[in-house]
Amino acid sequence: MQILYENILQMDIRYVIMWIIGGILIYLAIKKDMEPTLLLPIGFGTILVNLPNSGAIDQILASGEVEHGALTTLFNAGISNELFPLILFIGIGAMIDFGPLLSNPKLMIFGAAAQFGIFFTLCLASMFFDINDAASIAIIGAADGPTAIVVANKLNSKYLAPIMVAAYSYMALVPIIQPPVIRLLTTKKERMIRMEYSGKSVSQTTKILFPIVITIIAGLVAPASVALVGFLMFGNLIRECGVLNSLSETAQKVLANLITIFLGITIASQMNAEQFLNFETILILGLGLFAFVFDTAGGVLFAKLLNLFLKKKINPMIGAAGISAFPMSGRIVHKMGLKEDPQNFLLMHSIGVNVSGQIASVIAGGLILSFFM
Amino acid sequence: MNLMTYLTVFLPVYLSSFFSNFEFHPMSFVENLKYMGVGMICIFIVIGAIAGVVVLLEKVISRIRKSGDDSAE
Repeated sequence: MQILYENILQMDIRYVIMWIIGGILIYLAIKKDMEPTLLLPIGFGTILVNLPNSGAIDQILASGEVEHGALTTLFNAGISNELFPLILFIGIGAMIDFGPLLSNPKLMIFGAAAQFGIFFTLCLASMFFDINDAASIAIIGAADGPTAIVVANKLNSKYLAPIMVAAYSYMALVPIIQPPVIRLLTTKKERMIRMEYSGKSVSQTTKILFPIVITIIAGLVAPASVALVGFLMFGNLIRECGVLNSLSETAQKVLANLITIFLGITIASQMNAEQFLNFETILILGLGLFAFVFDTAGGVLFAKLLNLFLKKKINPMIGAAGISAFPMSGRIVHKMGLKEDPQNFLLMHSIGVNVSGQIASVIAGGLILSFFM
Repeated sequence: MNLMTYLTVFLPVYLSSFFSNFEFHPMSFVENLKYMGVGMICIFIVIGAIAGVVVLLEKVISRIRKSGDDSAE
Protein backbone atom coordinates (compact mmCIF):
# COMPACT_ATOMS: atom_id res chain seq x y z
CA MET A 1 0.00 0.00 0.00
CA GLN A 2 2.98 2.28 0.69
CA ILE A 3 3.66 2.39 -3.01
CA LEU A 4 0.43 4.35 -3.49
CA TYR A 5 1.36 7.27 -1.28
CA GLU A 6 5.18 7.35 -0.99
CA ASN A 7 5.50 9.65 -4.01
CA ILE A 8 2.72 11.92 -2.73
CA LEU A 9 4.74 12.41 0.47
CA GLN A 10 7.47 14.03 -1.65
CA MET A 11 5.13 16.82 -2.72
CA ASP A 12 6.38 20.37 -2.26
CA ILE A 13 4.46 23.64 -2.25
CA ARG A 14 6.68 24.78 -5.14
CA TYR A 15 5.27 22.03 -7.37
CA VAL A 16 1.77 23.33 -6.67
CA ILE A 17 2.87 26.88 -7.56
CA MET A 18 4.24 25.58 -10.85
CA TRP A 19 0.96 23.74 -11.54
CA ILE A 20 -0.83 27.04 -11.07
CA ILE A 21 1.61 28.75 -13.46
CA GLY A 22 1.07 25.95 -16.01
CA GLY A 23 -2.66 26.32 -15.53
CA ILE A 24 -2.46 30.08 -16.13
CA LEU A 25 -0.54 29.53 -19.37
CA ILE A 26 -3.14 26.99 -20.51
CA TYR A 27 -5.95 29.40 -19.57
CA LEU A 28 -4.30 32.25 -21.50
CA ALA A 29 -3.86 29.96 -24.51
CA ILE A 30 -7.42 28.63 -24.60
CA LYS A 31 -9.61 31.37 -23.15
CA LYS A 32 -7.67 34.45 -24.29
CA ASP A 33 -6.25 32.92 -27.49
CA MET A 34 -2.73 34.13 -26.61
CA GLU A 35 -0.18 32.27 -28.76
CA PRO A 36 -1.98 28.98 -28.08
CA THR A 37 0.40 27.01 -30.32
CA LEU A 38 3.13 27.55 -27.76
CA LEU A 39 1.60 28.57 -24.46
CA LEU A 40 -0.59 25.46 -24.26
CA PRO A 41 2.25 22.93 -24.72
CA ILE A 42 4.49 24.98 -22.39
CA GLY A 43 1.70 25.14 -19.78
CA PHE A 44 0.97 21.42 -19.92
CA GLY A 45 4.66 20.53 -20.00
CA THR A 46 5.15 22.62 -16.85
CA ILE A 47 2.69 20.37 -15.05
CA LEU A 48 4.38 17.24 -16.43
CA VAL A 49 7.82 18.15 -15.10
CA ASN A 50 6.63 19.38 -11.70
CA LEU A 51 5.37 16.07 -10.38
CA PRO A 52 7.63 14.31 -7.86
CA ASN A 53 10.06 11.92 -9.61
CA SER A 54 8.37 12.71 -12.93
CA GLY A 55 9.17 10.10 -15.57
CA ALA A 56 8.94 12.79 -18.26
CA ILE A 57 12.41 14.09 -17.40
CA ASP A 58 15.68 12.36 -16.48
CA GLN A 59 15.78 11.11 -12.89
CA ILE A 60 18.79 9.89 -10.94
CA LEU A 61 17.82 6.69 -9.15
CA ALA A 62 19.04 5.59 -5.70
CA SER A 63 21.48 3.23 -7.42
CA GLY A 64 23.06 6.18 -9.24
CA GLU A 65 21.68 5.15 -12.62
CA VAL A 66 19.96 7.72 -14.79
CA GLU A 67 16.42 6.94 -15.87
CA HIS A 68 15.93 8.79 -19.11
CA GLY A 69 12.78 10.84 -19.61
CA ALA A 70 11.21 11.68 -22.97
CA LEU A 71 11.27 15.45 -22.53
CA THR A 72 14.97 15.49 -21.63
CA THR A 73 15.70 13.27 -24.63
CA LEU A 74 13.74 15.63 -26.87
CA PHE A 75 15.51 18.63 -25.33
CA ASN A 76 18.93 17.10 -26.05
CA ALA A 77 17.81 16.14 -29.57
CA GLY A 78 16.37 19.46 -30.65
CA ILE A 79 16.84 22.36 -28.25
CA SER A 80 20.35 22.06 -26.86
CA ASN A 81 21.68 21.88 -30.44
CA GLU A 82 19.19 24.56 -31.67
CA LEU A 83 17.80 22.18 -34.29
CA PHE A 84 14.07 22.66 -33.58
CA PRO A 85 14.04 26.49 -33.74
CA LEU A 86 16.14 26.48 -36.91
CA ILE A 87 13.81 24.02 -38.64
CA LEU A 88 10.86 26.14 -37.47
CA PHE A 89 12.51 29.10 -39.17
CA ILE A 90 12.21 27.27 -42.51
CA GLY A 91 8.47 27.20 -41.98
CA ILE A 92 8.37 30.86 -40.91
CA GLY A 93 10.43 31.88 -43.95
CA ALA A 94 8.01 30.03 -46.21
CA MET A 95 5.10 31.97 -44.67
CA ILE A 96 6.57 35.44 -45.20
CA ASP A 97 5.82 37.53 -48.30
CA PHE A 98 8.55 40.15 -48.69
CA GLY A 99 6.64 41.85 -51.53
CA PRO A 100 5.42 44.93 -49.57
CA LEU A 101 8.96 45.44 -48.28
CA LEU A 102 10.65 44.99 -51.66
CA SER A 103 8.29 47.50 -53.30
CA ASN A 104 9.53 50.11 -50.79
CA PRO A 105 12.96 49.06 -49.44
CA LYS A 106 13.37 52.34 -47.49
CA LEU A 107 10.97 50.88 -44.90
CA MET A 108 13.70 48.45 -43.83
CA ILE A 109 15.33 51.22 -41.84
CA PHE A 110 12.48 51.17 -39.33
CA GLY A 111 13.02 47.47 -38.76
CA ALA A 112 16.57 48.35 -37.75
CA ALA A 113 15.45 51.18 -35.44
CA ALA A 114 12.97 48.95 -33.65
CA GLN A 115 15.77 46.69 -32.40
CA PHE A 116 16.86 49.45 -30.00
CA GLY A 117 15.06 47.72 -27.14
CA ILE A 118 17.34 44.68 -27.41
CA PHE A 119 20.54 46.65 -26.86
CA PHE A 120 19.05 48.95 -24.23
CA THR A 121 17.79 45.93 -22.28
CA LEU A 122 21.26 44.39 -22.61
CA CYS A 123 22.69 47.37 -20.70
CA LEU A 124 19.89 47.20 -18.10
CA ALA A 125 20.08 43.44 -17.63
CA SER A 126 23.88 43.55 -17.22
CA MET A 127 23.30 45.32 -13.90
CA PHE A 128 21.69 42.16 -12.52
CA PHE A 129 23.09 39.25 -14.55
CA ASP A 130 26.40 38.22 -16.07
CA ILE A 131 26.87 39.40 -19.64
CA ASN A 132 25.89 36.16 -21.41
CA ASP A 133 22.66 35.87 -19.43
CA ALA A 134 22.00 39.60 -19.93
CA ALA A 135 22.41 39.19 -23.71
CA SER A 136 20.09 36.15 -23.69
CA ILE A 137 17.47 38.14 -21.76
CA ALA A 138 17.88 41.15 -24.05
CA ILE A 139 17.08 39.03 -27.11
CA ILE A 140 13.53 38.67 -25.79
CA GLY A 141 13.17 42.07 -27.46
CA ALA A 142 13.70 40.41 -30.82
CA ALA A 143 10.06 39.25 -30.39
CA ASP A 144 11.11 36.06 -32.12
CA GLY A 145 10.96 32.71 -30.37
CA PRO A 146 13.48 30.74 -32.47
CA THR A 147 16.03 33.59 -32.30
CA ALA A 148 15.62 33.79 -28.53
CA ILE A 149 16.12 30.01 -28.15
CA VAL A 150 19.17 29.89 -30.41
CA VAL A 151 20.88 32.86 -28.76
CA ALA A 152 20.11 31.71 -25.20
CA ASN A 153 21.39 28.21 -25.99
CA LYS A 154 24.56 29.30 -27.75
CA LEU A 155 25.38 31.66 -24.86
CA ASN A 156 24.71 28.82 -22.37
CA SER A 157 22.16 30.87 -20.47
CA LYS A 158 20.79 29.29 -17.29
CA TYR A 159 17.46 31.03 -17.86
CA LEU A 160 16.18 29.42 -21.05
CA ALA A 161 12.74 28.57 -19.64
CA PRO A 162 11.81 32.04 -18.28
CA ILE A 163 13.28 33.64 -21.41
CA MET A 164 11.05 31.45 -23.59
CA VAL A 165 7.95 32.05 -21.50
CA ALA A 166 8.63 35.81 -21.54
CA ALA A 167 9.31 35.90 -25.29
CA TYR A 168 6.16 34.04 -26.32
CA SER A 169 3.90 35.66 -23.70
CA TYR A 170 4.93 39.17 -24.67
CA MET A 171 4.58 38.36 -28.38
CA ALA A 172 0.98 37.47 -27.62
CA LEU A 173 0.59 40.64 -25.53
CA VAL A 174 1.78 42.99 -28.31
CA PRO A 175 -1.80 44.32 -28.84
CA ILE A 176 -1.77 45.41 -25.18
CA ILE A 177 1.85 46.58 -24.87
CA GLN A 178 2.27 48.65 -28.03
CA PRO A 179 -0.75 50.99 -28.27
CA PRO A 180 -0.15 52.88 -24.97
CA VAL A 181 3.54 53.37 -25.85
CA ILE A 182 2.64 54.65 -29.32
CA ARG A 183 0.00 57.04 -27.95
CA LEU A 184 2.44 58.33 -25.33
CA LEU A 185 5.11 59.15 -27.91
CA THR A 186 2.94 60.63 -30.68
CA THR A 187 0.44 63.43 -31.04
CA LYS A 188 -2.99 63.00 -32.60
CA LYS A 189 -1.82 65.07 -35.57
CA GLU A 190 1.14 62.74 -36.11
CA ARG A 191 -1.07 59.65 -35.88
CA MET A 192 -3.29 61.10 -38.59
CA ILE A 193 -0.48 61.55 -41.13
CA ARG A 194 -1.53 59.85 -44.33
CA MET A 195 0.90 57.76 -46.32
CA GLU A 196 0.08 56.91 -49.89
CA TYR A 197 0.83 53.45 -51.20
CA SER A 198 2.16 53.36 -54.75
CA GLY A 199 1.85 49.58 -55.12
CA LYS A 200 4.99 49.22 -57.22
CA SER A 201 5.26 45.67 -58.52
CA VAL A 202 8.36 43.64 -57.76
CA SER A 203 9.82 41.23 -60.27
CA GLN A 204 9.88 37.54 -59.47
CA THR A 205 13.65 37.55 -60.09
CA THR A 206 14.10 40.09 -57.29
CA LYS A 207 11.95 37.99 -54.98
CA ILE A 208 14.12 34.96 -55.74
CA LEU A 209 17.44 36.79 -55.41
CA PHE A 210 16.44 38.62 -52.20
CA PRO A 211 16.81 35.68 -49.77
CA ILE A 212 20.14 34.72 -51.34
CA VAL A 213 21.49 38.27 -51.11
CA ILE A 214 20.36 38.71 -47.50
CA THR A 215 22.01 35.47 -46.45
CA ILE A 216 25.32 36.45 -48.04
CA ILE A 217 25.34 39.99 -46.60
CA ALA A 218 24.25 38.96 -43.10
CA GLY A 219 26.60 35.99 -43.13
CA LEU A 220 29.61 38.10 -44.09
CA VAL A 221 28.90 40.66 -41.35
CA ALA A 222 27.78 38.32 -38.56
CA PRO A 223 28.83 34.74 -39.31
CA ALA A 224 27.14 33.54 -36.13
CA SER A 225 23.82 34.51 -37.72
CA VAL A 226 24.25 32.32 -40.82
CA ALA A 227 22.16 29.47 -39.38
CA LEU A 228 19.35 31.80 -38.28
CA VAL A 229 19.26 33.97 -41.41
CA GLY A 230 20.05 31.08 -43.73
CA PHE A 231 17.22 28.83 -42.57
CA LEU A 232 14.73 31.72 -42.63
CA MET A 233 15.78 32.70 -46.14
CA PHE A 234 15.85 29.07 -47.30
CA GLY A 235 12.19 28.80 -46.33
CA ASN A 236 11.46 32.00 -48.23
CA LEU A 237 13.37 30.78 -51.30
CA ILE A 238 11.29 27.58 -51.33
CA ARG A 239 8.19 29.81 -51.36
CA GLU A 240 9.34 32.25 -54.03
CA CYS A 241 11.09 29.93 -56.50
CA GLY A 242 7.74 28.81 -57.91
CA VAL A 243 8.81 25.22 -58.57
CA LEU A 244 8.54 23.82 -55.05
CA ASN A 245 4.93 24.54 -54.16
CA SER A 246 4.42 21.24 -52.36
CA LEU A 247 7.56 21.78 -50.25
CA SER A 248 6.46 25.34 -49.49
CA GLU A 249 3.02 24.10 -48.38
CA THR A 250 4.62 21.41 -46.24
CA ALA A 251 7.04 23.87 -44.65
CA GLN A 252 4.30 26.40 -43.89
CA LYS A 253 1.85 23.92 -42.42
CA VAL A 254 2.99 20.41 -41.53
CA LEU A 255 6.61 21.14 -40.69
CA ALA A 256 5.87 24.34 -38.74
CA ASN A 257 3.08 22.68 -36.75
CA LEU A 258 5.11 19.55 -36.01
CA ILE A 259 8.12 21.44 -34.75
CA THR A 260 5.90 23.82 -32.76
CA ILE A 261 4.42 20.84 -30.88
CA PHE A 262 7.87 19.49 -30.01
CA LEU A 263 9.29 22.92 -29.22
CA GLY A 264 6.56 23.92 -26.80
CA ILE A 265 6.47 20.80 -24.72
CA THR A 266 10.27 20.41 -24.74
CA ILE A 267 10.92 23.97 -23.54
CA ALA A 268 8.68 23.14 -20.60
CA SER A 269 11.22 20.52 -19.50
CA GLN A 270 13.27 23.47 -18.19
CA MET A 271 10.38 24.80 -16.14
CA ASN A 272 11.03 22.84 -13.00
CA ALA A 273 10.36 24.61 -9.71
CA GLU A 274 14.02 24.82 -8.66
CA GLN A 275 15.03 26.67 -11.83
CA PHE A 276 11.92 28.78 -12.28
CA LEU A 277 10.74 29.93 -8.85
CA ASN A 278 13.27 32.57 -7.98
CA PHE A 279 13.65 36.33 -8.06
CA GLU A 280 15.58 36.16 -11.33
CA THR A 281 12.48 34.90 -13.13
CA ILE A 282 10.47 37.95 -12.05
CA LEU A 283 13.38 40.17 -13.08
CA ILE A 284 13.58 38.47 -16.49
CA LEU A 285 9.84 38.93 -17.05
CA GLY A 286 10.22 42.62 -16.17
CA LEU A 287 13.26 43.11 -18.40
CA GLY A 288 11.48 41.33 -21.26
CA LEU A 289 8.62 43.81 -20.99
CA PHE A 290 11.17 46.66 -21.01
CA ALA A 291 12.68 45.27 -24.20
CA PHE A 292 9.33 45.28 -25.99
CA VAL A 293 8.48 48.79 -24.77
CA PHE A 294 11.83 50.23 -25.86
CA ASP A 295 11.65 48.41 -29.21
CA THR A 296 8.35 50.20 -29.85
CA ALA A 297 9.73 53.49 -28.59
CA GLY A 298 12.88 53.14 -30.71
CA GLY A 299 10.92 52.64 -33.93
CA VAL A 300 8.47 55.48 -33.24
CA LEU A 301 11.12 57.98 -32.13
CA PHE A 302 13.29 57.18 -35.16
CA ALA A 303 10.36 57.92 -37.46
CA LYS A 304 9.78 61.21 -35.63
CA LEU A 305 13.47 62.06 -36.02
CA LEU A 306 13.30 61.42 -39.77
CA ASN A 307 10.23 63.64 -40.01
CA LEU A 308 12.35 66.59 -38.92
CA PHE A 309 14.21 66.33 -42.23
CA LEU A 310 11.52 65.08 -44.60
CA LYS A 311 9.12 67.19 -46.59
CA LYS A 312 6.71 64.30 -47.08
CA LYS A 313 6.08 63.18 -43.51
CA ILE A 314 5.98 59.58 -42.35
CA ASN A 315 3.33 58.43 -39.92
CA PRO A 316 5.58 57.68 -36.89
CA MET A 317 3.35 54.79 -35.82
CA ILE A 318 4.80 52.61 -38.56
CA GLY A 319 8.10 52.66 -36.69
CA ALA A 320 6.43 50.60 -33.96
CA ALA A 321 5.69 47.86 -36.50
CA GLY A 322 9.42 47.18 -36.78
CA ILE A 323 9.34 44.56 -34.05
CA SER A 324 9.31 41.02 -35.24
CA ALA A 325 5.81 40.10 -34.00
CA PHE A 326 4.51 39.40 -37.51
CA PRO A 327 1.79 40.15 -38.58
CA MET A 328 0.26 41.34 -35.32
CA SER A 329 2.31 44.50 -34.94
CA GLY A 330 1.61 45.62 -38.50
CA ARG A 331 -2.12 45.12 -38.00
CA ILE A 332 -2.12 47.01 -34.70
CA VAL A 333 -0.51 50.06 -36.32
CA HIS A 334 -3.00 49.89 -39.21
CA LYS A 335 -5.95 49.71 -36.77
CA MET A 336 -4.63 52.64 -34.75
CA GLY A 337 -4.31 54.64 -37.96
CA LEU A 338 -7.88 53.82 -38.97
CA LYS A 339 -9.12 54.80 -35.52
CA GLU A 340 -7.64 58.28 -35.92
CA ASP A 341 -8.64 58.64 -39.58
CA PRO A 342 -10.93 56.05 -41.22
CA GLN A 343 -9.44 56.93 -44.61
CA ASN A 344 -5.83 56.34 -43.56
CA PHE A 345 -4.70 52.94 -44.79
CA LEU A 346 -1.30 52.16 -43.31
CA LEU A 347 -1.42 48.37 -43.72
CA MET A 348 0.98 47.93 -46.64
CA HIS A 349 3.52 50.26 -45.02
CA SER A 350 3.21 48.73 -41.56
CA ILE A 351 3.39 45.16 -42.88
CA GLY A 352 6.48 46.07 -44.92
CA VAL A 353 8.12 47.47 -41.77
CA ASN A 354 6.94 44.44 -39.77
CA VAL A 355 8.59 42.09 -42.24
CA SER A 356 11.82 44.10 -42.14
CA GLY A 357 11.70 43.72 -38.37
CA GLN A 358 11.84 39.96 -38.84
CA ILE A 359 15.08 40.31 -40.79
CA ALA A 360 16.53 42.94 -38.46
CA SER A 361 15.77 40.86 -35.34
CA VAL A 362 17.63 37.87 -36.75
CA ILE A 363 20.58 40.09 -37.65
CA ALA A 364 20.46 41.54 -34.13
CA GLY A 365 20.59 38.00 -32.77
CA GLY A 366 23.61 37.27 -34.93
CA LEU A 367 25.34 40.44 -33.74
CA ILE A 368 24.68 39.55 -30.10
CA LEU A 369 26.25 36.14 -30.73
CA SER A 370 29.23 37.75 -32.46
CA PHE A 371 29.79 40.06 -29.47
CA PHE A 372 29.57 37.46 -26.72
CA MET A 373 30.26 33.99 -28.06
CA MET B 1 3.91 22.66 10.61
CA ASN B 2 2.33 25.38 12.78
CA LEU B 3 2.17 29.04 11.82
CA MET B 4 5.03 30.13 14.12
CA THR B 5 7.37 27.50 12.69
CA TYR B 6 6.39 28.53 9.17
CA LEU B 7 7.04 32.23 9.85
CA THR B 8 10.26 31.79 11.80
CA VAL B 9 11.90 28.91 9.99
CA PHE B 10 10.51 28.00 6.62
CA LEU B 11 9.67 31.46 5.25
CA PRO B 12 13.08 33.10 5.93
CA VAL B 13 14.87 30.07 4.45
CA TYR B 14 12.65 30.17 1.36
CA LEU B 15 13.00 33.96 0.99
CA SER B 16 16.79 33.80 1.35
CA SER B 17 16.97 31.11 -1.34
CA PHE B 18 14.54 33.15 -3.49
CA PHE B 19 16.93 36.11 -3.45
CA SER B 20 20.17 34.13 -3.08
CA ASN B 21 21.48 34.81 -6.57
CA PHE B 22 20.54 38.49 -6.66
CA GLU B 23 23.45 40.82 -7.37
CA PHE B 24 23.38 44.46 -8.45
CA HIS B 25 26.16 46.14 -10.45
CA PRO B 26 24.94 49.58 -11.56
CA MET B 27 28.18 50.50 -13.36
CA SER B 28 27.65 47.59 -15.76
CA PHE B 29 24.98 49.72 -17.49
CA VAL B 30 27.58 52.33 -18.44
CA GLU B 31 30.26 49.75 -19.28
CA ASN B 32 27.95 47.97 -21.72
CA LEU B 33 26.67 51.07 -23.51
CA LYS B 34 29.40 50.45 -26.08
CA TYR B 35 27.56 47.30 -27.20
CA MET B 36 24.41 49.37 -27.66
CA GLY B 37 26.25 51.90 -29.79
CA VAL B 38 28.13 49.37 -31.90
CA GLY B 39 25.11 47.07 -32.21
CA MET B 40 22.73 49.77 -33.45
CA ILE B 41 25.31 51.16 -35.89
CA CYS B 42 25.99 47.65 -37.26
CA ILE B 43 22.29 46.91 -37.69
CA PHE B 44 21.70 50.16 -39.54
CA ILE B 45 24.71 49.53 -41.80
CA VAL B 46 23.65 45.95 -42.62
CA ILE B 47 20.01 46.86 -43.19
CA GLY B 48 21.08 49.87 -45.24
CA ALA B 49 23.32 47.63 -47.35
CA ILE B 50 20.50 45.14 -47.90
CA ALA B 51 18.07 47.93 -48.86
CA GLY B 52 20.66 49.37 -51.26
CA VAL B 53 21.27 46.01 -52.88
CA VAL B 54 17.51 45.47 -53.30
CA VAL B 55 17.11 48.86 -55.03
CA LEU B 56 20.09 48.08 -57.26
CA LEU B 57 18.77 44.61 -58.07
CA GLU B 58 15.37 45.92 -59.08
CA LYS B 59 16.97 48.64 -61.27
CA VAL B 60 19.29 46.14 -63.00
CA ILE B 61 16.55 43.55 -63.55
CA SER B 62 14.07 46.09 -64.94
CA ARG B 63 16.80 47.45 -67.23
CA ILE B 64 17.62 43.94 -68.51
CA ARG B 65 13.92 43.28 -69.02
CA LYS B 66 13.46 46.59 -70.85
CA SER B 67 16.42 45.93 -73.20
CA GLY B 68 15.04 42.42 -73.77
CA ASP B 69 11.61 43.88 -74.72
CA ASP B 70 13.27 46.49 -76.99
CA SER B 71 15.33 43.86 -78.85
CA ALA B 72 12.23 41.63 -79.21
CA GLU B 73 10.41 44.54 -80.93
